[in-house]
This record gives sequence, structure tokens and C-alpha cells, in this order.
Amino acid sequence: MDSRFSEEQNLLRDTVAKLMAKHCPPEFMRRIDREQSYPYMLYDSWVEAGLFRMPFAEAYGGLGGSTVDACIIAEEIGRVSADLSMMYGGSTFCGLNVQRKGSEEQKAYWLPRLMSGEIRMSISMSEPDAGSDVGAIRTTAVRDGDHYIVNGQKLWATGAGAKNNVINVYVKTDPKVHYRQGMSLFLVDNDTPGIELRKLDMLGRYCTGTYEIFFKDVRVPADRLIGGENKGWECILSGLQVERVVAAAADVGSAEGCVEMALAYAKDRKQFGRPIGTFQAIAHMLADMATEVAAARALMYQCAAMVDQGEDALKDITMAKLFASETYAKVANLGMQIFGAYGYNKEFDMQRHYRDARIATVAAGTSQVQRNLIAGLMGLKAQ
Amino acid sequence: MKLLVAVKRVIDYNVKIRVKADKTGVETANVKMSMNPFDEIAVEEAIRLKEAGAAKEIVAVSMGPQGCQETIRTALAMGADRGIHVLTDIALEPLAVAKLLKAIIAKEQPGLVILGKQAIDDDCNQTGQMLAALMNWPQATFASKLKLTAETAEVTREVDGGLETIAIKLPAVVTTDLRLNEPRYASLPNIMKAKKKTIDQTTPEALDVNVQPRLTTLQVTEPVKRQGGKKLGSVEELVDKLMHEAQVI
Repeated sequence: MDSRFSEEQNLLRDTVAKLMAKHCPPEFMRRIDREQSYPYMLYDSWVEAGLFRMPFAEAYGGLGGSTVDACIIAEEIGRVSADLSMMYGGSTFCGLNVQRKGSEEQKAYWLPRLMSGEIRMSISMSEPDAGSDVGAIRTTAVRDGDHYIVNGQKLWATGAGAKNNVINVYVKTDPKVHYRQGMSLFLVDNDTPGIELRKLDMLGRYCTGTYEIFFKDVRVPADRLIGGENKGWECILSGLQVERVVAAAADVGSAEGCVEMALAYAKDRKQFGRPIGTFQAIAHMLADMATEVAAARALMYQCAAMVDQGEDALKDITMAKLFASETYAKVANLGMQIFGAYGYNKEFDMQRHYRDARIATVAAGTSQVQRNLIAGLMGLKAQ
Repeated sequence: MKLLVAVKRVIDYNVKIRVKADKTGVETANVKMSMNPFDEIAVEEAIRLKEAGAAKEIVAVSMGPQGCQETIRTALAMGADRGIHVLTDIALEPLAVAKLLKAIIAKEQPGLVILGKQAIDDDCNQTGQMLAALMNWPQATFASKLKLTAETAEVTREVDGGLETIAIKLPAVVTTDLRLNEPRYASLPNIMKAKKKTIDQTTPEALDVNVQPRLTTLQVTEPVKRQGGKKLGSVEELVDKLMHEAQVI
């Protein structure tokens, strides 16, 4: 087996793979994708197995797992579906933010509820006029006694509409200061009066769902402000490394899923009297796909190990996210080619990867933003 | 009561077995290894007995190369309490395994030993029976139901004619059949706990057991590939072929 991983990590991978095979077999995945429904029972099975306890500190009821552990989980979920990995990432990333930036009272209140599955969490940052340019958000929160009043509109909020979901929303608390300085992070129940959710008709990620959120005079208790007023940007930065490397792990897993699927098809599908995988054109395609995914995986786990060692790995992680997401999009595209007309048919799973992969190079920082950052860290800052 | 569970490291049941090019055995390099599925059932049953209060401690034993530690760790992550690894690079035959288990039983004094009825690699189905004979203990093989009292075990066995329920005195040897239970997968909290559980390592020499193989493998070959069938036009044609081609009627 892979010597990079401990016996426990191999067990962890095995458990998550078995969990997914049992609670999310291919026909189930096909059905929830077709019905665009959120798989609550699958989420509950993750809770029961302790997946959400893994990355959190033992002091709050977590298991004290490492970044590599979280990447293993994301990779195995991603192997089945990139869409479902968003469900895991949403709750995990938001919870880790609370663990890093919340007060002791906030951690004691939110983290056990998150780990026990009583609530789930999703992140909401983008707005109609604020995508890559996060600082341009215009949704506001204004203090009113022991509450804040939130007004505005959010877009592309992944998983916001699931039941018992707490939206981790970034808003402007001081519109006068330099644009990134006036941001704050609030935890808002998605059924708070004044919130209106609209599920958007996207090309993929049907199960987690992508939402538009309207906030109209939404009263949020002041103790749901995380990290302090105007400290939102710091919250974002504090989680960036772990989030990006775990997101890269999910992309790697999904890419591996594509290669496995395409390989099995190429061995099985016969044309001109032999499996199409024995034709060099297809064989080389698969060899290239497998090679690029292996490279993306190696870079991703190297970065995860760097994070666990406490090293500043921002440049490497940005490269890992860029390369993993682009590799996923690439192998899904090639997988479609190998599957031929079957790939274009919705009864087959490759088209789901093709749709889900397309957003990988856009979400959580576009490939262009990642390249800007990498170039910047190489001393090539825009003038 | 202490339970001893034997767990074997085998090629994962999902892997397509390939014969080595030199025909000396099957390919194990870079192949996924897992716990023998019948042994997983044995571990699960032991855990259920412990959860029901019928047992206090579960000891998982595996024998073979260093990699067996991973198989023991799997048992620990499922819920076994500690492990024993008999380290050897010699390919062990059922009698050698039974003798090693006997030596471990002498030290551990378990009230019940649970094993898989057979391993999916060599399909011998011998170790449990040999162990019972060496110990002169009662045995209940192919168990599909197991109930313990302080001094006896009531075991339902899957036999050719149906189900047979027997009562045996403890200590005893039980081997598991497929329908005994559905094994759990290791939960993440248990995986983290398994890190801290101990695995003692010993060797056949330390246990004073001669494990040299008594069989010599001459050759391992792939099963003969099935030839494609033929579609016939009529019953007459079939009878004709059976008479003249196959010459069976």
C-alpha cells in the first residue's frame, strides 16, 4: 500500500469508502442527482461514523484528526461525487472557522451541535457584484441593541437551503473603511424571519444545491458574530490553506473516480472486435489521465502534510487547488470522449462528473485568481 | 470471559486474482489486502458478545508478515481490545496456524475462540477443526447463530440438510458462516482509539512451534477459460450432437 499513510489512515480511507459504497451506491447517486434532492440520510450516516468529528479538537468533542485525515475523507467522498464533497466541506470548513475564530462560549455552543448533526453549515460570500472581488460585497449588518440587522442579497450559496442549516455569511459592518476591512462573519439560521432562499437552476451540483439568498431586515443576535466586528477578512484568510487543500483533495478524488470509470468502460466496451482500451489512441488517453491525477494527488498530499507541519504552504496549496481542479475538468472531458455517445446519455455517470467538474475551476477561487496569487507569490505582483 | 479471534490477511475479495508469470503462486505485489471476510464476521460476533455483556475482552490474533499488523489494527478499530501478531515470512498451512493458536491459547486462556470457517485465499476450511482437535475442545463449525451462557454455547450450524442447533461446553472453538452477522465498518472514533491499543509481537520460534510447510506447491495455473456455447436450431440437432459429438448418450 501507499507508505505515505499510517495504518489508521488506511483504515480511515477504507471506512469512508465502505460507508459511501453502502449508503451511496451508484443507483442511489444517480437517483438523487436526477431528483436534485439533498441526501439527508447519507449525511446522517457520516455523522454517525464520526466524519464531522475528525478535524475538530478533542476539547470540543472532536477526534483531533490532521489535515491529511480530512483530505482522505474528502478524496473518498469526491471519488463518488464532487457534489457530495461540498456537503462535507461546507460543514467542516465553517466549523473550523468557528474553532479558530470563535469565543470559548461560541465554540462550546456551535461545535457539538455541528458534530452531532443537529445543525449543518454552509458558507455564503458571493453577491451579484462580488465574485472574485470579495471585498465588493454590499450586504450590510447594522448594530441594533443586542442584535444586528442584516439586509442584502447573496448569490451562489452552496447548500444554503438544506434543513437545519446555519449560513456562515460575510457582510459589511463598516462600509466606510477600505473595502476588505469592514467585513464581518455571522452565523444565521436559514429559517430566520426575513430570509428568502431560492434554489438556482445550475448545470451541476444538484444535490447540495446552489442558492440565492435575500436578507430583509433579518435580526441576528450579536453573539452570532464570529471573530469580532470588521474581522471577517481575517476569518477568511485563517481558513484558506486548509480549505483549499481539502477542496483539492475532493477534486483529486473526483478525478480518480472519472479515471476508474473510463478505464472500466475502455476495458469492457468492444469495437472492431476488441476492447477499445487496447487501441493506442484510447490507451494513451487513459495513461495521461492517470498520470496527471497521480501528480495532482502527490502535490495535494504534500501540501496537506506541510499544513500539518505548520509550514506556510500558501503558494503550494494554491498550485494544488489550481492543478487538481483543472485536472478534474480535463479528465472528465476526456472521460466523456472515451464513453462516446453513452457518456452524453444521462443514464451514465460520466456526464454527472462532466457537469460537476466544470465548476471546479471556478468555485472557491477561479483558476485565474489562483494563477494571480501564485504569480504574486513569485514576485510578479500586478503594478 | 476472554474471547480470542483469529484474523487472516488475504487478498481483498474485490481484487481479480492473477497467477504469477512463473506459475509459483498468485500475484500479491501491489495488490490490495484485507481481512478475510469470514474473520470479519468472527470479530463482529465477538464485539456483539462483548456489547451484550457476555464477554470482557477481545484479543485479535494474526500470523504472517509485517503487513498483518494492519489486519489486526482493523480488528482493533472495529472494537477488539488488543492484538497479538505472530511474525513469520513462511507461508503457514492450517496445521501450523492451529499449533500457533494452541500456544497462544495456553498463555491467554480464552473461554471461546472464534475463527472464520475458511479463508478466501486457500479455502482450506481446516484450521478451526484442527485447533479443536489439538485442544481436545468441543467445536461448532459453520455457525449462523451463537448464544453464550456461563458454561455453554448454543450454536446453530449451517449444514447440508438445513440448520442444526447444538449445545457445547466451554471453552470451545466456533467457526463462522456468512449469515452469522453483518460486520460493521470501523467508525472514526474507534479508528482513533485503535492507535492507542497495543499489538504484541511474537514469533513461531518464541512459541516453540515448527511451522515449516509440509506441502510443496508444484504449479499454480489459471482455471481453463470457458469456450463459447452454440445455439442449436432444434431438439433433434441437440440429441444428435449429444450422441455423436459429445458422446454422452
